[in-house]
Amino acid sequence: MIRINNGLIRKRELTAIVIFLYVIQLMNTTPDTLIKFGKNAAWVLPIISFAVMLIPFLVLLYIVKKHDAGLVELVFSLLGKRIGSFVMFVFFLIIFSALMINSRNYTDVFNTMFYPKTPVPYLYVMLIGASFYIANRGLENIGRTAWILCPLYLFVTYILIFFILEDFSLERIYPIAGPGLDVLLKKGATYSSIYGESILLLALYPFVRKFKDFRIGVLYGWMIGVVSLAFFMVIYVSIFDFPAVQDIAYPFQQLTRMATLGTIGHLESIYLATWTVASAIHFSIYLYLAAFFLSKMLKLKEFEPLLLPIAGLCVLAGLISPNIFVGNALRETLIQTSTGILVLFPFILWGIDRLKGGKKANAG
Amino acid sequence: MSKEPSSSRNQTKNDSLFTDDFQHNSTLIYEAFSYPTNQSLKTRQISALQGTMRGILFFLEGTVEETTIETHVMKPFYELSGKPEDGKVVDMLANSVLLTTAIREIVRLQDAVHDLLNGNCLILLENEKIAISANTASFEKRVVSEPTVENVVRGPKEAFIESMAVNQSLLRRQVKDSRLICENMTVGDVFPNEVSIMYIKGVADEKLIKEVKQKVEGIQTDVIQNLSILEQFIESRTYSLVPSTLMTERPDRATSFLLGGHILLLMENSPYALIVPITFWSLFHTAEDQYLRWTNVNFNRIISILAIFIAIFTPSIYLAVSTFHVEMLPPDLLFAIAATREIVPIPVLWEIILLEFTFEILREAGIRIPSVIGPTIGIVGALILGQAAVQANLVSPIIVIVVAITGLSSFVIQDLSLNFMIRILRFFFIFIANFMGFFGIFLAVACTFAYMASLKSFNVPFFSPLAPYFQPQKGVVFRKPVWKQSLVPFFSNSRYKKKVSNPKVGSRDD
Repeated sequence: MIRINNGLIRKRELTAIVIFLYVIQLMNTTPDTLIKFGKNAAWVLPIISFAVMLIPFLVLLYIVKKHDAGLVELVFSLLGKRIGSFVMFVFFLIIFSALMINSRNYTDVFNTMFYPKTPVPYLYVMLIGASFYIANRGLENIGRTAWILCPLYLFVTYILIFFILEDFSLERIYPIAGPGLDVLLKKGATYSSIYGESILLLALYPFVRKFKDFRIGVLYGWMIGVVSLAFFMVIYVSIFDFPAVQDIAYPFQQLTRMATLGTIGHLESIYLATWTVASAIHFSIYLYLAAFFLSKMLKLKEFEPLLLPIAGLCVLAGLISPNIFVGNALRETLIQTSTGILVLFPFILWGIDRLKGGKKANAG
Repeated sequence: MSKEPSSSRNQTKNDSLFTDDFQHNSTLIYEAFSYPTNQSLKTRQISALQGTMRGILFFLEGTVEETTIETHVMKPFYELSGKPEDGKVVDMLANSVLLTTAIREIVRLQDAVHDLLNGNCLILLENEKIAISANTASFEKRVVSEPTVENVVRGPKEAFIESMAVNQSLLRRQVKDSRLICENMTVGDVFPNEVSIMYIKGVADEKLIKEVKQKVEGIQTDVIQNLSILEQFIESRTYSLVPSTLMTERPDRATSFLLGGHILLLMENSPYALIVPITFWSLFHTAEDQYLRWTNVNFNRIISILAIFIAIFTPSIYLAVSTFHVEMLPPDLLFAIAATREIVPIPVLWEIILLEFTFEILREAGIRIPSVIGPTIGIVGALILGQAAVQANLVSPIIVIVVAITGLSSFVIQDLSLNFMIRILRFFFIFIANFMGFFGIFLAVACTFAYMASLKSFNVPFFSPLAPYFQPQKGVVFRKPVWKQSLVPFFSNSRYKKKVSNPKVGSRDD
């Protein structure tokens, strides 16, 4: 009884949460963005981004382990209350903008691909409503839901490959370096904040049973996310060929339209189902994180009451963007901006920690 | 409002003590049972030692075994020889004269009434302020018979009956262990009834036992007739579709729950055992799960999972596909459906609702109908509603198939609460499908999973040990071979772990 009722999440649940954060990227507009810069070698970009984001993550993980405190507690203790609140505000802005822009983009994809006659606000409210419902039941519960559904989700996602195998041709990914290694490295680094949530996830450290669970959970989920995205980029390029793949909006959804299973021609409805479930969980994590950071900034004890206003604000703000092109442009700006912040921040924190630690050691 | 005064009035009256005055004592009992209006109270003057020792024997008709009173109470009393010392009469009678299994000395009217109601006979003696209550209980009960709901092909063929004592004996026969504890508690303020809480000490979690007892103690109501009503008092969520307790009529299933660290509640007049806490898996597993071979049981499990999904989703998915996602269907099938739909005047939603409700009505009628005219239901259902509705162009034939397979699948789910949950959820999904197609259905699926994952039954998460994931696992979705299962309950801290290994006696092919 004591074991199960402590409200802490474990390795598996955390892995599942991270899987729903990252694996879903292969289904949204991330591939479009990456293919624009990476051309036929776009599949290398997630790996580079991962490598670039891994270093600050590990640095921050080191500080977290050293102090045995979550990101939020660390920021407040190392930077003081005022700067701490400001940092929380920046984190909130990052996560909230990501929530707003991405959820609007998802809604646009639902609208364009499956429900062209349904008004966008209608779909949007339903999606965020479902996410709010899930987030409102707490992190432990998001974790459990994610863990139950994640094997099925991965299975259905990967099995798509077998349905489209006849159009597959691996030669299309050559030349292997695409636009050139320098471009890949540069763009990979610039866009590394597609994995920026890893840094922000460290704020959830106090809710995880132990450090090892946290480290393994995040890294496993993250790696599955990177491998899946890279793998599906290879698939997209090998199936649609370059440069045609550049002109295809939502490659995953197009792929599901091509998929056949015997006489059943269109499998996209099945993938619509998977994608719907995944997005609801995906945005519930975003909502939860946004509410968490906002509450820390405002120094509130409970943050569940913030979920509903944030969800409402998200729908209102998300509806401002007129179409997906604006949405995509916004997303690129967000990724580029937040990359700088999220990559540099752990090093700053580390430096301050060293300084303070040094002072203490001298004093001692 | 009226509850409090009546119960307290009852209490003050019943709290009277017996005195030396024989007349007063017997009047107390007569008054308590409204004698002579109430003819159930039987009395008999008794005397021993040539009339020097006299008294009255009381019992309630229909609660006692009269031969026992004659042979084990009255006979020894009459044959009494040798006058006991003054003040030791009761002592002697209780210890060395009366021959029944349990004897109690009683000083309060309240206890006397309680014992009489529970089938004891009461002896009041002249010049004594202590009454003697001897156990002679024998209530009418039916014999142990075969289960009617939880049938199995292979396995024990007996079910609980309405007598708590018999039910306890059925369980004791299966768990011959001194650690099987049976605690009795009383519920109901005005008409108290006994609840028996059974668990295995050291296996069931101490906190859990305490919590269950507190819950039962905390019940404030006039009367609880039986377990089904008690269930509604102690369940975690009254307004939720998801059950938090489980009823079984099979002693073997109840035993396997006991061994797994669950707690059992028994009551008189209830041919069931109530089990807490439960998880989704305890509802999903059937009694036969442990009796079949590994291959067979897992085949059954696959069928059950499919049946659950079919029972919940088929109508809504048909609705979504035929309204929103027609491109999913192969063209030939699409044309076939379109052709049959063409002549049906009502929208597909109403077609489904019409037939689904008809099916539910048939099902309910099947339960309520007197068994003599039962077979009529089949004829009415199959012929008139199925075939005729199609011929009259009220519904299309494919809807009949959809509803039939849905209904059939719902019969696979044995547990009544889970069954209801699935049947009601189905309608919920039908409306959502009509509203938003797959998008709506699967947003609702995500929310449903989130809801169920957050539930707890007596602090045990509903989907555990799968989510949150705990060792050891007994095999929740698929069962492990029996020799790989360990008995340790996943939600307990108790350790009576026994490492089970593959029996290597003789040769195994695998």
